[in-house]
Formats: sequence, C-alpha cells, structure tokens
Amino acid sequence: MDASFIGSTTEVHLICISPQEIKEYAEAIFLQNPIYVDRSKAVEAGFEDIPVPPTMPIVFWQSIHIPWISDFDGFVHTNQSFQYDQCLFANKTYECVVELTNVVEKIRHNKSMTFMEHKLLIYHQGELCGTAFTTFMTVEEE
Amino acid sequence: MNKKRQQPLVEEFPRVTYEHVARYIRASGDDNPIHYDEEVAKKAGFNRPIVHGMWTLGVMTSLVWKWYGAHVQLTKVDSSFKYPLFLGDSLLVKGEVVENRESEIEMKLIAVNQDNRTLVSTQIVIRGAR
Repeated sequence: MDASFIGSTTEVHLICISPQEIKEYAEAIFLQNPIYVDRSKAVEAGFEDIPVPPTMPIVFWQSIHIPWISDFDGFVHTNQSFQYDQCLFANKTYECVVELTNVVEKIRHNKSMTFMEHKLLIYHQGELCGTAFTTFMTVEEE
Repeated sequence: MNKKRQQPLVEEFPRVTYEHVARYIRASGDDNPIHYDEEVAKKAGFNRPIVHGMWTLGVMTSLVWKWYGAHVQLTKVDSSFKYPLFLGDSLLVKGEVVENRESEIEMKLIAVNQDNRTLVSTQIVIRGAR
C-alpha cells in the first residue's frame, strides 16, 4: 500500500438492512433492548422503524468492494469510530462509500507497520446520516 | 445523576467461547479464520484464535441500554483496540461517566481480560439518559 492510494473511494453501494439481520446482530452482541427486535417497541419509543445498532455499520464493509485491498488476511483492526447525524433504520436503503483517507508508515522494533485509515460515509437520499472511521494495520518484518 | 447511576458500572463475561464467535460470524459475515482456526491464528502471530474486536465493542456498547434504559441513543463511539481478546478469555467491561451535560452524557468504557489487561478503550456519547 503506498500513499498514492490516499483519497481513493469505492463506488457507491446501496445497502439495506433487514429486521432479521438486526435481530441476529443484536443477539450476537447481547443487545437486549427490545427496540432492536420488535418494530412496535421501536415505534412506541419514537422511532420510524427498527434502528440499526450503532456499531453495526461495520458489517457494511462486507458488501463493499474495496479496490485497494485484495485480501484482509493479516489485517489488524486498531481503531473504530462511529458518528451519527441521524439514526439508521431497517428497511431503508443507504448509499455507502468508503474512502481511504490516510496511509501512515511506522517502523518499530525492526517491524514496518502500515496504518490504513478509512471512512465509510452513509447517506440516505443524498443526506449524510453517519460516518464510520476504521483503521487497519499490517505488519512486516524489515 | 440518580443513585442507580452512581453505582459502579461493571459487567463480567466469565468465558468467551467459540459459540459467541460463531454467532457473531453468522451475524456479521466476517469469517476470517483467525477468529476460530488455531493454525491460522498461530501463523498470524497469536497463540490462540482471537475474538473479533467488533464483537467486544458491540458487547461494550450494548451495556449502555442495560445501564441507562431502552430509550437512550448512542450518537458517538470512538474506540481503540489495544490488545486481543483470545478465545477462552474472560471479559470485564467497566463504564465511567466522564461528563454529564444537559442533553448528553459522555462516558468512557474499558474492556479488560482476566489479567486486567486493557483490550478496548472507548469514548461514547449518549443522548436521552434521564
């Protein structure tokens, strides 16, 4: 990975999460809030539909082709952030783009470490709803 | 803050198992063998398979609703993965209020293993806590 890739973006991918996918994700992380599994509870709580759990957009990466990453083997996930301008909901289609925002090389203990900083932008009908920042590291012996 | 929230915010998961990982793989689609295959984990420099960092982070943030109720919203999550959680390890999550503003609460969440080694450090912002 070299710095020339900085600023590269993926194509726009349309992603729609089903209530069943949210239920399975919520169960996997012991998220026991009923608004994530029962639409009527979500509506009762003031939401338009079942919300997407705040850490779930990491799953969106599985649906997005990243041209500058051929294989995630050997990648270590070092940092992850999520910021929301709007809540995300089941059954809504989001326009998603991943951008490589920075590549940082560090050498420590004769090992070359490359940090790849990404941001996933999540839009609905052109309006930004949330941003997820993801940093991966790879390590090579010098 | 009410009396309940002044109590220590701590939750323990005595042993993280393959079943936890398998369920997360099904839910997330992230089936990297480093999370379940000992040989692959060893090739990557780990003694045992490592649990998805995002499982740990998901579990940590899920506790917010247990602590504050179903109505709150998380608007910001900012995390660093410091050290791997290995299959068979225990997980302890501790929460601490950093700042209690009028409309939102800023918290720090820390996940540690059985050796009290920090695995994940997270800052979160919660809205709607009463």
